[in-house]
Amino acid sequence: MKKFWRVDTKALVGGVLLGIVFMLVQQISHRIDSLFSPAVMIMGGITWATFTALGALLFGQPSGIIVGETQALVANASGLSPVALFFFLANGLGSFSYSLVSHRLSMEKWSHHLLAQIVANLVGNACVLLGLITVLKLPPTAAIISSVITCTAGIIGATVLTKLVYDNLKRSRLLDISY
Amino acid sequence: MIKAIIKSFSYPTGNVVLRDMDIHIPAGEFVVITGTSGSGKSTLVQCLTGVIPHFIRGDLDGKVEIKGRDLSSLSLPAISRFMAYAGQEPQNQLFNLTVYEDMAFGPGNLCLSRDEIHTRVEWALNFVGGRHLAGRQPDTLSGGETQRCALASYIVMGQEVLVLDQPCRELDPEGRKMVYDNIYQLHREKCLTVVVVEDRPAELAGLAGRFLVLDDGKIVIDDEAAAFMSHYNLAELGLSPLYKSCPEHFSPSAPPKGQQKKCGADHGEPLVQVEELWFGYKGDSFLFRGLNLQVFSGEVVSLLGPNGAGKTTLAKLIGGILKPVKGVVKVNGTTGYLFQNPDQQLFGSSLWDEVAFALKRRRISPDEIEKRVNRVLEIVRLNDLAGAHPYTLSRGQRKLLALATALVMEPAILIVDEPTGGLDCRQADLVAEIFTQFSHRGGSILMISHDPDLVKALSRKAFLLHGGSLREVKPDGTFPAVS
Amino acid sequence: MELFPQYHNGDSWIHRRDPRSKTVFFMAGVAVALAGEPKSVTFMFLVLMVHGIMARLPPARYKTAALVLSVTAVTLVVVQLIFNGVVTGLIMAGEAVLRLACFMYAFMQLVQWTHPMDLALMGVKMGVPYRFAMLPVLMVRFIPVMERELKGIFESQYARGERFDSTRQKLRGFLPVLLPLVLRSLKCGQEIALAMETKGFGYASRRTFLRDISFTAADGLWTAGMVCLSGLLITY
Repeated sequence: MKKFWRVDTKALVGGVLLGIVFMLVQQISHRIDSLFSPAVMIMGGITWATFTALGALLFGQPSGIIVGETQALVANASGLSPVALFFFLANGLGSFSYSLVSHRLSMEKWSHHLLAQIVANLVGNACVLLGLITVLKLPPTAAIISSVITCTAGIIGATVLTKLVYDNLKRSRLLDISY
Repeated sequence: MIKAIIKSFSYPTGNVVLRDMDIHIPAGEFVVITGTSGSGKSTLVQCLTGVIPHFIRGDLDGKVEIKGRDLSSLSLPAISRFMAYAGQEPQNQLFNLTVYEDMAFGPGNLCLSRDEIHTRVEWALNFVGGRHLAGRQPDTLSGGETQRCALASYIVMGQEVLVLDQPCRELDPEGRKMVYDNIYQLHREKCLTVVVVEDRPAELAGLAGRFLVLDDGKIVIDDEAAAFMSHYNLAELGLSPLYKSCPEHFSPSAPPKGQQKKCGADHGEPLVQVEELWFGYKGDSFLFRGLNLQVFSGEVVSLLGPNGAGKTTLAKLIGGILKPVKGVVKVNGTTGYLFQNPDQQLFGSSLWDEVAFALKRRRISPDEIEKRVNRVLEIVRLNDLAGAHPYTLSRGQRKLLALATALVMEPAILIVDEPTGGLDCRQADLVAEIFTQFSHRGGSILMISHDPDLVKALSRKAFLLHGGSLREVKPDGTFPAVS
Repeated sequence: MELFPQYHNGDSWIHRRDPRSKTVFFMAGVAVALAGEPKSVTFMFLVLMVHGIMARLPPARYKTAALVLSVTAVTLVVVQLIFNGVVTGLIMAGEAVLRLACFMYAFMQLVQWTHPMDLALMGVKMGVPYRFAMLPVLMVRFIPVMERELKGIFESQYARGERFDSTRQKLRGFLPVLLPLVLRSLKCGQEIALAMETKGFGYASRRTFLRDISFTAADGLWTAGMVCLSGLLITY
């Protein structure tokens, strides 16, 4: 019953609300990051990847992209994430690439989640990396190291977190709705 | 008008929720659908309005027709042209930036002209007495205002059928009366067909023409209003009587012999001591100016007052969630807190995990955890559902679960905010009994409640919070008027 | 702390402009911020400031963003100093901060002087189905609601003994905060979607809006001016 393309009201509205939650959780993650890894996003990377995955899993596309773009919009409008400029591309492409993988798999196994996260994190962090180097003129070495750390944390951490959250949501029967 | 033949309905999990239903509701009738929690009331109205199967999945073996049209062949937006359906959460039925825009939302979707929309909106707002709310943001409205505006946002569309699922669940008795009077007036003036799901059917005795009682997914009673009210004992059916002082409604048990707990001002140190408390939120003037309060062992103290008086704020100060600006809040013992909205704390994958969570955090031994969790789940009568996810429970059951998470910590003081809100009669009785036993064992309860029966039956003391100050009032189930 | 700077109600010349011209103004600012030389970016920043004063947007709203940007600036400076030495490092860090500041300012202005419903109407006029175009309105409406939910969740878990002071406590308390928030958002989303559909949302391909937008001569002039200016600044 998994649909790739969903434009029903539940998906659209759910995408917006999850996008707002995404932004709120990113604020918490950034605060944690600022305490023990100010120069690198570790918690931020994990939660970015988790919500990118959840948006695609719960609502398909284009709502998965709506989740990401809502977060990017709020992040930029609030001024609370200076590098949020790059999130528009990273979030959209990251979500879409996650969907391309997850749509073909049952997403019941850990390996399915891991594979989808690898693809999404590589795509998303590549977008941010491009921006950091071309726009902010960060030294490529520094930018690559930072992106690799964020990407690795995102892949491992978000695989675990996404599966935990997704399994909990399935048990809650909140996903038993028509579309 | 409405013809429903439902042989069975089950959710994807396989539980059969409705069975053997044959319902005919003629045009212009006012029908109340009632029953205990879990009897299938909400599921039934969702079938009658097309929400099932268009929005919620399940296996529906049957057919529902409105004026001869099969609902399964129409989309929900198409059904909305002649039938209004309002669910249980009015705050999620207003989603525009102002109340006026919310009123205009429905007619706008039906492509009415702007002039027509303005005319209808003015009428609807005036009808519910909400004209002065037009420019307000919906999330700044009180519970009663939200309910009235939500109702207006449906009636503005001018449908012939109005279906409401527990429209007054969180309101106080006065608010409920206002909303039901509005609905009845509309029914009379416009000859609407009205279907209301209500846990307290007696409140609609003078308004409705017919009552349907559900039990375990079946209709067990289908009778005219007069016959229903005279032939059946609502308490025996597990349905609430009218809100009035009725000490027999709650029959808290006496403490066991030899365990009579003395309580009151004469006996030892208070468990809760509030001295010269000053508090205000940042940027606002002080909410409390030099409040004093004492709660002793075994006491149940009710906190009364109008909306916005600061009852929940005071409870949070005592619970340690907020810190006073000046003054002292001393609590001798651990506190357990039951919030008005239990959903904000539930996240476990099962009831058992949910209740055990705080104990695991304290590194209590697994045996002790097992013992306490099982005991508490039995107290709240959810032990059969220990493996279920909290969100699969009804709202009343989730409230009981939240109470269990507070009780499992074996607190000395329980702070409870609207403990019977959203509960049916049997669940409310259970909560009253639990509180009675708790206080008999020496625990204290600070209770915020709009339930006069509960306040009268349980409270040793009551305080009215108004204008930043506290004064003691009689805990007799009446709510003092405030200027 | 306000997560999202709400629309600032006003009757300035800029407030009265069509959202399409405001969007072009924003895009001009972004284009220069990303592609212009530092002098051009500085000039564009000044142009944005002048417009902000004309629209009477309160400067206090930028306080938090300025603080956050300062922290980012320090990080950028440190990284550049390590890799590029003092002079070059400071210049490059300064450039990066300037571009970020210009982009952030332009975006925050757009949100504060454009009514969310005007953004929806702009989408509809451009051919976006209204079911999608109205999503920004929903977003603005429910940001404060979800913020309050989060606050309520923190208080609920605090009452159960969770603490959020140390880093370890914050990490441990992450899931007990995240899960109820996601569950609540899912439940709320479904209830809102149901209420929308039972009020006819999606019944027809069009709907009646109470507001209207119109692209006037003044909008045309302003738009043309900004396009020319940004073109000049980028190519200068």
